Amino acid sequence: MAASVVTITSGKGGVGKTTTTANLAVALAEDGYKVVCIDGDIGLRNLDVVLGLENRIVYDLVDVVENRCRIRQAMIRDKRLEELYLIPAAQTRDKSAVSPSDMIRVCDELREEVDWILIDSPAGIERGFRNTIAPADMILVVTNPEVSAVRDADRIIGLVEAEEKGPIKLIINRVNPSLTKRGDMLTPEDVIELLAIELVGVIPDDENVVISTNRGQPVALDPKSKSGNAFKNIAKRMRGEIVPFTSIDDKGDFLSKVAGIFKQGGD
Amino acid sequence: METDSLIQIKGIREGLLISAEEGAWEERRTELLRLVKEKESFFKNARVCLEVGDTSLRVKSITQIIDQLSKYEMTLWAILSTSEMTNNNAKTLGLETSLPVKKENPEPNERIDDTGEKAVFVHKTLRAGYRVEAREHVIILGDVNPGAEIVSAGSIIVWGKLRGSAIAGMEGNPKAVVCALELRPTQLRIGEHVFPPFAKKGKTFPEEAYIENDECKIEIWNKEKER
Repeated sequence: MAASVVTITSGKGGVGKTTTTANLAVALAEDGYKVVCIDGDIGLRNLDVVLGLENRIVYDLVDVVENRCRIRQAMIRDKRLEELYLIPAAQTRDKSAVSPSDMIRVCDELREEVDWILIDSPAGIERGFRNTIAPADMILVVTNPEVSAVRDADRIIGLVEAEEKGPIKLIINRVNPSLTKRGDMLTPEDVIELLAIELVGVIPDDENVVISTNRGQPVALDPKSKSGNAFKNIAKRMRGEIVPFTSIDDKGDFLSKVAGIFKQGGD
Repeated sequence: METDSLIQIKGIREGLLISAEEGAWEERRTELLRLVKEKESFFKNARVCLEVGDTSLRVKSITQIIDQLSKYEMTLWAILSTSEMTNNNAKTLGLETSLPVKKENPEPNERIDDTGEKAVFVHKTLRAGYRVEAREHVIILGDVNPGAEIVSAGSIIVWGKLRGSAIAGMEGNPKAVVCALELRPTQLRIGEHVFPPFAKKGKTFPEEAYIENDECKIEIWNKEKER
């Protein structure tokens, strides 16, 4: 099959785009799909660190675009998962080293060879963002339940809609059940109500994500991790499987209110 | 000054008006950049309004021309077009899509018959960063999200949730009103009057905001009511 190109974006920085990209890639590769992740954050690369592949970079995306190597040579194979590859960003260049049409060309070349192409978008709405949106078949917007992150996500959705790209789907990351319960944090319902796009996943706030990110071991590799399982469920939903949305409440009660909101497609 | 089959340039109050209405977009763009390069010192620091006729431009094409002009320290601030797509995309990028009308016009809302006045109708949700500005009344069928903005010389009606900013009667029309199914704007102004901040939570009703005796008033919508 020809690969689907999925771009993970957010507008605001630090909401978990790179972590999400790494974990979705791991989850899809674990299920036997051939996956390539592309780090679109040229000049500020870090998907390689999160995936633990930092010390194996020889060629990068800019080398491919500027014909210094073949695309195969820039694809770093993961040590743990046979079918997981990374095309890293260049560290010493900036966003203008790559154009939207370069991204489309690179993805078209990869499409026949793999099942999924995941692109990690940089923060912001400038060139880097445009580059990563250009080849996308599906856009995943990552946000946190915070007013500023949701505002930026809304702006991003508007820009993607103006480009007539889509479908656009939503991931709410770092949801903290005790804070939302006290009313100190937006609830997933608040976020969905404002952004009005289809939800594909809610990731609980989990300190293990920070630890695993620093170690280059995505949480999706750990079968016992709650957040890891949330990422695996998103990967299933991306493939069109219907996975019921379970509550992320600490005590494990099922929030009926949450279930109600999520019944069209969600967790 | 320069006359050419593809590009016409003239000076206007707001800067330069560059008309490039005919021919393939790529040709026009190349020609424009050639002209700019040729007379770099003339164009430097110019504020440019670009007239593109009925050409449909994607956000990508618009950002491209913005970037290319910015290399010559020119600022593209408006795009005039008859294409709805171009207008929407230009607005998304924060550009103007019309030249400001002279302030002398005393009647902001042209009457179209004995009972009605002109309005701009927008059938979509306005997301953050989107701005609708009109001399006419503005009607939105959809929500106005935080970070979106509506400016009107007349009234504003939102059939949806108004959570962004709304400025009605911008040239001091005291009869302007703002109505919404859920009135929770980030900021609300009618003419000179700035409404006190709205509570973020709580039950909402369709409401109408207006000015009476120089005071900001908000009332739950009631069609029986005569004001």
